[in-house]
Amino acid sequence: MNKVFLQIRKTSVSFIVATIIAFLTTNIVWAATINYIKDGTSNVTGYYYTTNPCITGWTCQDGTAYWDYAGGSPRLAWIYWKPNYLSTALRPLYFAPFIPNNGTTSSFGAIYYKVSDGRSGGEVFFTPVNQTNWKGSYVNLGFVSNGSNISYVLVDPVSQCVPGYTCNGTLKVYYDWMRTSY
Amino acid sequence: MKHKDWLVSTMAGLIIGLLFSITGITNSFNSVQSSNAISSSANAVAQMRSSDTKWSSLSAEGTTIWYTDKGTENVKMSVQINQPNKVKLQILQTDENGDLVFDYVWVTDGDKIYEQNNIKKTYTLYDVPAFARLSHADLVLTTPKEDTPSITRHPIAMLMPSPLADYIYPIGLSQRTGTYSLEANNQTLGRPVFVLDFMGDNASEHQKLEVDQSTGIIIKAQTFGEKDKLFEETTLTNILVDAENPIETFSTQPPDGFTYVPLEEFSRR
Repeated sequence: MNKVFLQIRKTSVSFIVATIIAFLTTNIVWAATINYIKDGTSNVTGYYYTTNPCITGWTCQDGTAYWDYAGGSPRLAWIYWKPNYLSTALRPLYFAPFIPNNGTTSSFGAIYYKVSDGRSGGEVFFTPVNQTNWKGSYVNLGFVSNGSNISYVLVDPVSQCVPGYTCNGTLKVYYDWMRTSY
Repeated sequence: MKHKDWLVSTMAGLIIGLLFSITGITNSFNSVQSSNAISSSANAVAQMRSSDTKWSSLSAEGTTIWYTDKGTENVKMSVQINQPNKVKLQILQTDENGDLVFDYVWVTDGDKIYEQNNIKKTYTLYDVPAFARLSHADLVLTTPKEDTPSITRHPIAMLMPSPLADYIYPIGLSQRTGTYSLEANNQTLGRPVFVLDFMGDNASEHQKLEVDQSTGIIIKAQTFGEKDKLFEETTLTNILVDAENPIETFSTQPPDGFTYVPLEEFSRR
């Protein structure tokens, strides 16, 4: 009887150890893949903008955000998000900008984000985002399919009007942290 | 029991509890308990969330009116879709002076994306990005887990340049943080709809949505802006569901007289 009990206990312990390892594998490893491209840190280049204090009452990451008029100026070469690190494994590299929440129903503009892997003939796509719809959230832009062995991956807001959306120079678009994975 | 046995039991309990919290099983129990109170609006949001699985093809016309400080801007659209990945979208847009600002065609056959500017007589053609070749469910599954999940729109909505994108594929809108309230069960254009009022967290956004009860597609949307004044109104009309569009609808061949330009140049509108 004791032998049976001991065997059951050993099996239970094995099961528990296996469960813990499975948990660590599925959660801790994945959690480590999330990063944020933000101002004032060493893990990013190219977040070129003069940070504006987040307006009182707004929800912005680290209290800063930047804005420009939707479609109202030449291409925004002075701002882009570029991770300093790239994956060493063959896996997608995701991007998701945070859209600030101004705490009122006033509307934001719609913009295109250009995502490119920097290779000649490589992946490049434009994702239109109506910022009004996603205030206070990170919104997924999609991924470049191979986040490794690439000279750079870049997300660049493009100052052009998005078909179907108003773009008369009165609406603003906002830039804040970019969530990415590698 | 010995100390070791207690330790083993405690660990097992902790682990099982952890597993429950991770998998959301307890949340499921809680949601079942409270389902009677929220069933109506929850049903409507559930329809939005699974909308792309409830229809196979769509043909419709759409209008969007923007009410801005400078006046009204009008957008006329037509859209044909064969799921999962064939779309044709045409847009005619005038500004507040009535001047044409977009006469534009966007087509994907699931392999290529074709864009045509009828004002400049130009077109461009490029590959569908890898993420948009996945279903929404697969895209979510392949996205790394995050403490606060990013909103993941339908892959086609992430590419389609039109307000219609998130109304035809409302799975992204269903993930917003805020409160959906069911105001009524109505008929719009002869179709039963849920009339939903959405208020974003911290009063960040206010919308009224009419959600088609059978497909989950939003067939009318009103977005309110500053001081709760109507800012955008989009309506779908002439809706035809599950009558497959002819395959030639999704041709990516340019008409005579149009000039090819690379995507980056084409995008400088």
